[in-house]
Amino acid sequence: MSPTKNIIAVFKREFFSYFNSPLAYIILFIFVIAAMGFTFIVGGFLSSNNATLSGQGSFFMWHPWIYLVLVPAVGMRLWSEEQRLGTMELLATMPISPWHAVLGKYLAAASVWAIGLALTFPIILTVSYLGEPDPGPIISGYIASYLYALACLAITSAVSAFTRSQVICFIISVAICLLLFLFGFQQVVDFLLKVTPASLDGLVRFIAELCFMTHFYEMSKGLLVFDDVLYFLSVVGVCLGITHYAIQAKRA
Amino acid sequence: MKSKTTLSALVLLLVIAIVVVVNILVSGLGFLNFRMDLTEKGIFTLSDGTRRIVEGLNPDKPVAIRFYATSDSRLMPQWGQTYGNTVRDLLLEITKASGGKITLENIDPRPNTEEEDKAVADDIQGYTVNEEGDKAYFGLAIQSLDKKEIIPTLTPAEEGTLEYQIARALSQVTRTKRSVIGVMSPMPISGPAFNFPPGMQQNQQRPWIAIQQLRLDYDVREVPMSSEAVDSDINILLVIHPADISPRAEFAIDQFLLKGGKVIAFVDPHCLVSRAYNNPGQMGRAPTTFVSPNSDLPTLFKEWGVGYDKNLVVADMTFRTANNRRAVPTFLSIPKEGINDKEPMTEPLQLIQMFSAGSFNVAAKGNVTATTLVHSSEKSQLIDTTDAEKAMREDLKNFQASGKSQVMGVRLTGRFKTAFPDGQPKATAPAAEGPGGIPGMPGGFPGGLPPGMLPGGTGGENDKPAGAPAGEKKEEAKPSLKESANNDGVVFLFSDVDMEFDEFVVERDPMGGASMRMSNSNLPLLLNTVELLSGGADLIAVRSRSSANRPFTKLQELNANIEEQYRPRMQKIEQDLNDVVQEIAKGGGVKATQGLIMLNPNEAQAKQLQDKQVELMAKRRELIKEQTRMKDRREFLITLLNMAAVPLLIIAVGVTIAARRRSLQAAH
Repeated sequence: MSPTKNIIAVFKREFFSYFNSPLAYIILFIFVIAAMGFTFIVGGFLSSNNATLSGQGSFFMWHPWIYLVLVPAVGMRLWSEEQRLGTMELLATMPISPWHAVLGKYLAAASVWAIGLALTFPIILTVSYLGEPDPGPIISGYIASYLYALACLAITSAVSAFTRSQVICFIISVAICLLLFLFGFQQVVDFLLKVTPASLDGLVRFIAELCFMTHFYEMSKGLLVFDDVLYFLSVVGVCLGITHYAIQAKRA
Repeated sequence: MKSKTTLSALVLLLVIAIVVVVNILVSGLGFLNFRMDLTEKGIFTLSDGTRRIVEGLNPDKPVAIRFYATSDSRLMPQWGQTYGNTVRDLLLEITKASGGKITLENIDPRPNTEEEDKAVADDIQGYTVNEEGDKAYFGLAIQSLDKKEIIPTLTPAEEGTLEYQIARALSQVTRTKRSVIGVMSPMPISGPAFNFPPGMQQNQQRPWIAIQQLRLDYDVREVPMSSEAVDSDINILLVIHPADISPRAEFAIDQFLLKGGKVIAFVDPHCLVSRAYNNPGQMGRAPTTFVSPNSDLPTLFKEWGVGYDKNLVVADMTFRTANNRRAVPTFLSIPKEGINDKEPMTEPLQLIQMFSAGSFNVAAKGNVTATTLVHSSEKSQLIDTTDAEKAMREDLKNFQASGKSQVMGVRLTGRFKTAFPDGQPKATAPAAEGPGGIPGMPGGFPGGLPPGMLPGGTGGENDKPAGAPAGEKKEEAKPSLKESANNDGVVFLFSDVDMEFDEFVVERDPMGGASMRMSNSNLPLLLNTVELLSGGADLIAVRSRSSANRPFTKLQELNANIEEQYRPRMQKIEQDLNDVVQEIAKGGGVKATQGLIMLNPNEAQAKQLQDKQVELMAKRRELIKEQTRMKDRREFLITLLNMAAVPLLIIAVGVTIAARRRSLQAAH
């Protein structure tokens, strides 16, 4: 079979397994409720009198918080499950390269998130009804949010390739995502800059540069910068590389 | 097998290393780093001017920007939060564009914290927001080495000029040397700063307040009207009332402009102040001086495409100023409607006053673009100077609005051509004896140093420009500039001179004290112009930003509809309440005049009225509550639709699929 066909086969199997169990429905349910709830109730969307989905306390700025927990929940079963059930060996005997399996499974989980984001469409209708939003930042906000989710998912995928326990995979993934989230968060960076000696300013800024939020903020507000997009794609690429390595090592 | 794993680990490490290097190349070095501003109004795109200022910063003199914004929502109102985001975004863009030359510090001053002390130390103005005296801060401090510029308060109303304010501050704090301003005027308005011998000090010899103000920030130097060249170290030439200017002095201005100098000219068809400088002359002391009341730059205006008649004055019935209880149509108080609000430099100005100003009819030529800065209303007309003189005392007899607004302040930018294609004009002075030229003068002036003029030489009043036949041959040898070197030529023209005179820019303390108060925006106009020009062409290229704010118009409309719905009932209750209150008052009045006899029957009535009042007030309260409830209900409905519709759909789909699968399984 051709590589594309292999990937599609794995993708199909994985994608339908999400929707054949209650998992995907529950996660999508929580995601939509959380995204809307944070925006409308905690963020005071209607009283802000600002027809925009980006900026502090608004729709897109809540996404990283939600992904922190929900993305590892989707991704934790990617490889841990196979290892626990022993289907890993089965997969290894199949005439497909590990890359095809890695990509197929990853794309399946990624499409669950694509569906999740698509299901937040009511907020676009709402904001267009209530005011005159600028479509540009909404488009780039969705791109930013999806890239963020993809990066978290890739991290979870890499972690799950190393452990057979879904719980451990979940906790470690959340921890990594949290660190990458926090150290790029503007308030945290400002605080760190305040408490660390001036000689370490460069280091703090460098670490912040490696984290998610530094690359997320501008994109979520309507400015697509090539370097930010490249950053998220790099995280995805590197993490999938690690996943591939772990699978291959196990198979060997 | 083992070696295969090691190999793939090595490959993985190599790939990671490559990815990291590519990231560093793109983000750190800006290699192939594209940016796409998807916002409709280009909110993240800095103007070329700001970009050039930021990129031109000296890496050895880093700039620190401290942005103070109290983020606590109990202290900072909603507008502050929203606008804070806008400011923060702009600062972030500027910081990024600087490539590390600017550091941005976001400071959140809360009551009784170290941050608050910092804000106070930086002179950021705090707003008291509650009874405890807590303050919220919203301002900017921009510092480079020991120079600091402060924007003590930020308000959304100034969003248009925000970028300009920051760019201006950046160019201020990083400027290394003071700009030199040359002042050319037949009146001794920029007289030497301090060195009057006692007793010699005449009133009219004192420098104008405008010039004194300029001296605070710039080096101001006199350029005599008889000059034939402008010193090459002068950055900005301020020409004030060039009455009877000689062609050779015009040539000097022309060459100064083409060389890259910036020109600000105030001309006047009817200068009131000039009279103060007319001196009948005294035997043995001062020679007779006479400053013509009207001025012009005839040759230059012609070349620049500026039509101007030095005998016509603008009379405006809309913008006229009341003077001694009579509105003089030639004394103009120009409000914001007559001031260009698209230019960051004039946008903040509130009121410009001009006194018998002329009119420019600009038809910009070639590579020169004209921008109107100040104009009259359409209910205006041009009248000649004799009528203008009369208009100060009596009403205009036959005023007819031209239906066209007159331009009284204009900016020309672009690539200028010389107004003197044949080089320096010949002296028209009647038989002045030529000094014979100065052979071998160091040629610091590209246009060729005119004979008889040392740079910066202070010619006396009767020091007529010397142009000797002997010098003519030399002139041909020294070519003059024919065109400006680049597109950065700038000329500002204003058609009134009096507007910058002391009495018309400040109000003195009526008690005779030293304190002065700015009476209009005339002085800020001059100072802004000079500041803009000393910042170079970059500051001019900073445009006004459009607002990033997008309110919920529909929600406001819906809420207004609800209020509309309740208005008749509300008005009815208000009316009833009013009536009852009046009735009670009337009852009280009756009681007072008629004494005890009427008290008893009235008491019952008063009680009844009071009960009614309480009842009506309760009704009103209820109505307001109901109105708020309607609004809240609508908001709740919107929230509920957003939150619940899709999750319910998800459950429905999930349940349907599960049920179908179960029935399929059961069938098997």
